[in-house]
Amino acid sequence: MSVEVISLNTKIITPEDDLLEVIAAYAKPFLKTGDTLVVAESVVAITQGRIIRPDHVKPGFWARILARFIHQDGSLSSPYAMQVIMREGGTLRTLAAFCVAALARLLLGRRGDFYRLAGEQTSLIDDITGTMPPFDKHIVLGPREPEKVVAEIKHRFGVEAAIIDANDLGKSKLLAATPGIDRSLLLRIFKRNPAGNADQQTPLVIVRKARRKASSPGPVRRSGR
Amino acid sequence: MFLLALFTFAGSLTVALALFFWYQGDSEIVFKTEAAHTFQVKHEPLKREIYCRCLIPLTNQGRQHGMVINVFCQPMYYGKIMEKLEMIPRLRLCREPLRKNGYWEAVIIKKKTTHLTELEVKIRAQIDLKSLVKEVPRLTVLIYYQTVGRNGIQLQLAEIQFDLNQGVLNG
Repeated sequence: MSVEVISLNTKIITPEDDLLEVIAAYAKPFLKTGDTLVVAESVVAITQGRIIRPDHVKPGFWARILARFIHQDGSLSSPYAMQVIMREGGTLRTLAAFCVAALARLLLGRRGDFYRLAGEQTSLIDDITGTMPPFDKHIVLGPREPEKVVAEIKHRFGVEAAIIDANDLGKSKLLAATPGIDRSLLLRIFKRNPAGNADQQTPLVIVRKARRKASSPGPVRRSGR
Repeated sequence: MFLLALFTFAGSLTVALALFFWYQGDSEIVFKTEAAHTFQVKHEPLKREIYCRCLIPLTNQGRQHGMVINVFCQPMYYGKIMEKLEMIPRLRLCREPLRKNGYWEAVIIKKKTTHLTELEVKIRAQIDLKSLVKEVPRLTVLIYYQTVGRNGIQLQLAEIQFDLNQGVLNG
């Protein structure tokens, strides 16, 4: 099936913004029946105020120890991000997940158990530098209740909605989607990250089943299959 | 007996962790101002402006990746003459485009890598440049930078000097 991917430019979205109002201002004029509105995961988190400066985090003893065992390319290798995760999921749960994951790796050679056991936030958190400016100096958590957010979008705008965590490395993760969405198609489209990862300021993307070429000058349009 | 075994285990674990952390190390990010090069000092007497520029290597000489999350530049204070001067310092990573407001985007500096940074200082004077250079023959710029590594946040300081006497005349 042919689809048209329309990336929408917005202002910088901050914790003071209401996501639904942002969608009303920047996406509603372009939305048509049958469209799917895809929102970037970090933007949902930012509007929920789920950002914190590392200077405001005091890493505890366990956060400092555990962060040392995370590969340095991972967000949790910083004691600040690890402390935030411990605060979010509970120190005991994080410690237990770490112990089980360490044993699974040593005895079974299996990787990734820590991220599975310590909660979804461990894989969604972005450490400093992980988000576009001006949030590049913040730790950005994953959004809270993403299923509720997409349901609210569908209720208000009458289109299918999804929250996606995509990056320029070709990895994308669908956090939540309304029932009418073709999840595998969406993941294929977002493998190329049409919203961009840097300064593009296009956190809203409309995916539309293509019929004929449109010519609105506003948003950035791409076609895909 | 049990207590002895417990203490021995705890002691061994502590030593093992300490050794692991020592072996693992941390990032060590520094502005190598002693290796700065491509110094440029341009005098524009008609505009009463001096433009200073140089390239400074930013190096991570540690064993871990690290991040530079903030960089601020501040010219040294030279007394009352400063009331007649406007100094605008800007520092950027050469590979990144210059943002008009000088915003430093937090960046990861991988271990054992060096990136070039460009420091620019624009001096606008209300007095003629000869008097300025007589009173301030050398301009020291302080670079404060905040780094984050395995051990946490560190605030560091580097300083660099421009010889305003060696300016090339323009205009």
